[in-house]
Amino acid sequence: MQENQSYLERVRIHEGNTRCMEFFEQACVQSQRRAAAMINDEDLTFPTLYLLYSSIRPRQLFLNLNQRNQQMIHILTELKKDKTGNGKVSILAKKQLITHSNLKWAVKTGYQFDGNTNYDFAIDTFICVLLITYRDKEMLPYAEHLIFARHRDGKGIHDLVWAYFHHRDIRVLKQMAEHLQSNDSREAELAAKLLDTERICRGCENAQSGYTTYLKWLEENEPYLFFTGENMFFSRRPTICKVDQERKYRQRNVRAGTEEPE
Amino acid sequence: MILIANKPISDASLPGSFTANSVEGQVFNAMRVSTAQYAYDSIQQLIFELRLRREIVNAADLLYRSGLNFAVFLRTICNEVYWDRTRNGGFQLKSGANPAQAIRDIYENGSQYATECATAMMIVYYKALLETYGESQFNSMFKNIYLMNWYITDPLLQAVGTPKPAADKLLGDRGYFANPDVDPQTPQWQGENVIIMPGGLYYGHGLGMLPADQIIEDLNENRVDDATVSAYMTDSVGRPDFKLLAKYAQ
Repeated sequence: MQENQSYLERVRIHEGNTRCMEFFEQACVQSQRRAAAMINDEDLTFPTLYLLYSSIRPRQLFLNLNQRNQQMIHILTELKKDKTGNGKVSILAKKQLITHSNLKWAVKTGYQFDGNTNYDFAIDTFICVLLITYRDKEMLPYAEHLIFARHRDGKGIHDLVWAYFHHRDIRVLKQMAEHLQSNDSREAELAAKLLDTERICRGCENAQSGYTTYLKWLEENEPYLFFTGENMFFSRRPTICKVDQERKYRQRNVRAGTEEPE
Repeated sequence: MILIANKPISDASLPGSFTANSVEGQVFNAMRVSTAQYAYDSIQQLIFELRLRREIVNAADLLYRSGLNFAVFLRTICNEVYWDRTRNGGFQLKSGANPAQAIRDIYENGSQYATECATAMMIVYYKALLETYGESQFNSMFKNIYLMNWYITDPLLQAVGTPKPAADKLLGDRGYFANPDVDPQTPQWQGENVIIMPGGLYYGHGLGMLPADQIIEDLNENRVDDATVSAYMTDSVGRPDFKLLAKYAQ
């Protein structure tokens, strides 16, 4: 990882944001072509591009940027214009291979960076688009990481949680259940809240038994589960999925030979 | 059907001095003719609910006219004289601030605030309770207000955050329009929380005071390009625990 760091990355990480910006400004004055080449380095990360956005934007060097950086600068410009969060970036509405690849680059290289509100807004937007428009399941662990990291920092998680569960996949529930046994009580509590384990795990003595009980419940009810579409805007304790009791009951009767199969 | 101390109300006469067209009168009549049972320990308990519902409707109407702006959680703003904006986009009452004044300030200086639809619902409930209880009691009951949808709510108001299917949608209820095919760029339009208003209207912060079909149309405009499912109004409503709150009425 260290070996592949671009020069701008090394300056940002080892000497700080201010020095990185100063260094880049100087590079621009000396040679715009050389400055563009530093940004175009394939090992550059999204946080560095984001940091240098205001230095890149007004300059001619934009035209010397590669396709990835030009597109991301365009997207960031649109997102920054949007003061209420109600706007839309037209590029993000249409599925395109290149946009998919660029957004993934931004998330993969930028999800761990502790940025400001606008940075978080950009990363959240990218993850929501990747998970829902592109149905990119590779993004699930990144969303999961961010849900717990943001929660730890007292930041909002509503949109990330919504996008995470949007896949309506039992494997997502199993993955989230892993956090029930976390040593960090806040993390375990959040997982319990998101999975709505209160009724399922009532009486469980500790986190481990809660985890085991939830997995057993999942295994028993998997064929009958349906996703409700509830979210944190609707309810303080959204129930992500429920058991179709009627179907489960009928199935049991069929198995027990008390009811004719359909 | 309305039951007071397990006995059906015998006639259609309104308790208190409410007129038939008032919010209280309309709710009373809707309850009376409903097949669902609305059971109260006393007539005072019923009157408290009717009055609080009226204040909820009034508070929603006033908030609609207040100039309160819409913003997603990451972009919320508040008047820092009264509130601290928390990192998750909520508003925490400042230490030492007067709770009643802080709630009133949102109504008087709405343009200094921006938030999303669920937090607007909480603002409506606090304003309604302020008018119902009066400033002195309100301040003693709600010393530590935190406004951020249903995420962390005062124990006295937690019921509004857990909607349930209801036989009737009554004036002052919190309804919800779901939008399953929402555009991922605008997750804030994955649904709209509304207060049910007289005249077939709904107040939803960010959309306005509109009939149901207009709210659905507005939400549908924020769907993905290949959307197949229309936005719709759910069967569930959120209601405060009126009986619990009635215990504090003087």
